[in-house]
Amino acid sequence: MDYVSVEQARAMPGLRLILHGGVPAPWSEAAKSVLKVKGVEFTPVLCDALGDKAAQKAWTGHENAPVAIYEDEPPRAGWAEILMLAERLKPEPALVPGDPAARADVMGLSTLICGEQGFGWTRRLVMLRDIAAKGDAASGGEKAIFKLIDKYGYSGTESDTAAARTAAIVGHLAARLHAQKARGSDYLVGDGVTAADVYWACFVGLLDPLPEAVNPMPGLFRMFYTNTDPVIGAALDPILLAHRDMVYERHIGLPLDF
Amino acid sequence: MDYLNVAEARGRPGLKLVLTAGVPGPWGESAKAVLKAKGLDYLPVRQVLGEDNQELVEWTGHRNAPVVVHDGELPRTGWLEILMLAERLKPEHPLVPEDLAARVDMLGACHLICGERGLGWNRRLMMARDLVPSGPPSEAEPAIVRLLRSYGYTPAEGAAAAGRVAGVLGHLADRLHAQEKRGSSYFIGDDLTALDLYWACFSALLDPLPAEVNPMSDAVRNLYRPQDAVVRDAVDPILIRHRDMVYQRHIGLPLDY
Repeated sequence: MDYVSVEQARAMPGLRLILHGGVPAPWSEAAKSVLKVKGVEFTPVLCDALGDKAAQKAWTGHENAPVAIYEDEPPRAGWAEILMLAERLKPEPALVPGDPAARADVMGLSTLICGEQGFGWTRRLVMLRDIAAKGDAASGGEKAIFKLIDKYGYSGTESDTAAARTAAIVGHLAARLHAQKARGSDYLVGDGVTAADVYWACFVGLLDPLPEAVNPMPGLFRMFYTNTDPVIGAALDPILLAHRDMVYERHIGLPLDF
Repeated sequence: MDYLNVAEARGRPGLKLVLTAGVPGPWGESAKAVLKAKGLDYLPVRQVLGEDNQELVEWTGHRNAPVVVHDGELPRTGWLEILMLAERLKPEHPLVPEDLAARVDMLGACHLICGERGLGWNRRLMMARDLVPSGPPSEAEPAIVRLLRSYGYTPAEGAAAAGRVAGVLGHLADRLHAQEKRGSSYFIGDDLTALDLYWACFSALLDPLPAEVNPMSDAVRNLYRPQDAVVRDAVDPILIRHRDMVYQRHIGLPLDY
């Protein structure tokens, strides 16, 4: 992906999306995929994850990624804010249904995947737990990853329950897909792609990353993204990966470009 | 309510909640209701409607309310961020169900009420449709008009807003009728959740509580009452009974802002 710097991006018009470069970070991949599925053009901007973030902070008020900045509107860093911006900029194809019941379903599931205490949140705690367990034996790379993803303060107590919470969410999503399959749909809600499908396809990379041929991520990140927890592993029903593959094939496209 | 100003609040420990003083704004009232239902004490901090609030911007990076500041953590402005902070600080008496199906159901419905392009958002667009003059902004415009302009109003969005509000109201009423049939007064299961609090607080944008328990100015009261028949007709009496029950049993009256 051809990124521009924060300094270059500030002077540009249109939609600019600050992303983690070099890794398929799930919130960044999800933001890109939402825009891609909707056909909304954007300029990718590199978040210097381990470097000086002063320029990004001065522009957006945020140090993390993704951050979407449309024209001179306030920056948007939350997954729902970015989704709603995309829906406004290009209403069709809609990733959030107009019907209130289906809309609630999509937003509820999306919160379960992307939101605080949701799948991405609890999976990150499991990753932190695994690095913390190594103590001083952790490599320099592992310590760097710990620092990178420990955004909200590592808590051993919270991490102890994180695997079970992650597994429960994974199981809930699998049960929904089975129920949908029984009524003839491949999607999480209704009969077409919604934001919930796009989010799950991007976030399941935190358990089983797409293969190297279409996802050339650094080996250290692949190791951490690949699940080794037996409780989560038992919950990772094949239907969840079949859904991921279908969403990338039909809607997002491959290879990943980060 | 005895508000601190920003200078007094900065550096104080614990939970600080920035609110628009003198107005029962639904996002602010629901943040207060969530903290009250959880039994979390907080220091109320004054934000002034429609003004620059420069000290607040310097402190939190935000001009509007509500903003929650907890010790050294990043300020939280979104309804969901504030709810999840409250759940973390006091997990007892959860307002977000543990059961995942109920959690999805509840959070999805909360998005319909509080989220972008939801009920509150579209009611605000309806107000903008009624108040914002066509043509470019002028310096002489009242603060409320300047504020409404800042919400991204376009004539097309304003025209669609009433239908969207009515759609959400119909959905919420259907849910309450279904729950009533199974013997519950609440939106989800048999107990209070955040969804009940949000609806109670956001119902003010359709039918504000009476003056004796809600001493808002006539100008704001008129603004909060929709003129559109399609919206007024969608306010099923069960929605108002639910609002009254939630205030009586859980939030308490009179309102204090």
